[in-house]
Amino acid sequence: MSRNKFLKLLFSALLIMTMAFTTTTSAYAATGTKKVTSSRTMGLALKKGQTGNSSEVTFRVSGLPANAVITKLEVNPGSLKSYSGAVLTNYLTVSSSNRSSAEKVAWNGRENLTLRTSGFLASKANGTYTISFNATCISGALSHGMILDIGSKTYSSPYITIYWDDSF
Amino acid sequence: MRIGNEKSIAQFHPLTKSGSRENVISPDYTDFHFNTKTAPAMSDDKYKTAIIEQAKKDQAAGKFQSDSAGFRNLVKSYVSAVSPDRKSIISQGLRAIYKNTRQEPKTFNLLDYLFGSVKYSKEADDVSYAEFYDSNGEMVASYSNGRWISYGTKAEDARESELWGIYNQAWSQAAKASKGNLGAANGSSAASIDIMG
Repeated sequence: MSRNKFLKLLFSALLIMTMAFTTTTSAYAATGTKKVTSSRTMGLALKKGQTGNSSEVTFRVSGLPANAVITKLEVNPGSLKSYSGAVLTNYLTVSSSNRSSAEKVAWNGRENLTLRTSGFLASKANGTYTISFNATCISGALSHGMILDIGSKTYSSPYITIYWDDSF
Repeated sequence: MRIGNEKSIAQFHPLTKSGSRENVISPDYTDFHFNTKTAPAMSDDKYKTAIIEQAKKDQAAGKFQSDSAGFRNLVKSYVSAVSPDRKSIISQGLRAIYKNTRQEPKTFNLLDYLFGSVKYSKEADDVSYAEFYDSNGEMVASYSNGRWISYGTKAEDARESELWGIYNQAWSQAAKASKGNLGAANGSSAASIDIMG
């Protein structure tokens, strides 16, 4: 057997072994990620000077192993769909059906920004998650040369990404 | 003012009829998502044992964490031991807001009182928004157009994470033990077949 043939054979054998190992590993895979996108919007309208919480967007996460726990939870509040006036975003609120209280996440309102939470690690991954944002209206919208008393802001297509593990 | 709403984990209480002086309905402190300071039901060592037993019980029943009512009750009891006195913070804060009848120059006001402080927006007697802070300056709850949200303090978050850690480890060990027992049972039945054969 020539050296080249031997190397080809060896390489093929190694490839088969690697594939077999990878298959075995994924059969027992105990970690993964799940991205859930919502088609709903999250928005608010406020009078000038007022602060308030937006409407909520809910994500239902299911189909993961029953004992999967969160190793990382990221939230992307989505694209800025519409706005009027000057509405300053203060923070994002994230809550879960599996955690007793909500988490306040620093966010300045920039669209398509991935935000990382910290309070959900080791909690059950399957469940319902809710996000909303808090904002203050600094100035109303400009309409036909007049400044109105109300400003608004709406985000669309927010999503969450859950990194999970069931081999703890 | 807000646009739309969906099914929520937050507590939603519609406003009372106009004309009512106090339009804010207090949160439900018996809810899983709204804790207030409660005396611990047992020592931390006993809690740890109870959490481990709950994990074993849940594993045997094919449940995990909040699938189980027992787990949820245990979380509430365990976390509430370090919760701020939300009930007093909120009720005293609302009282301070309604008591404050002077004309407010700003739309977002701050009041300090015995249990903490509150930032709020009020028009006439209608409170549209309020943030409640404990004496450490941590925001413990917010109210916006009829919807209450409870925010975990550092102490509450740490305690809940601790509980998940104890529970998950015990659940995992129970699952492994259960698998081991099943394997042993299968092994012994295989052996008996061999003997019979």
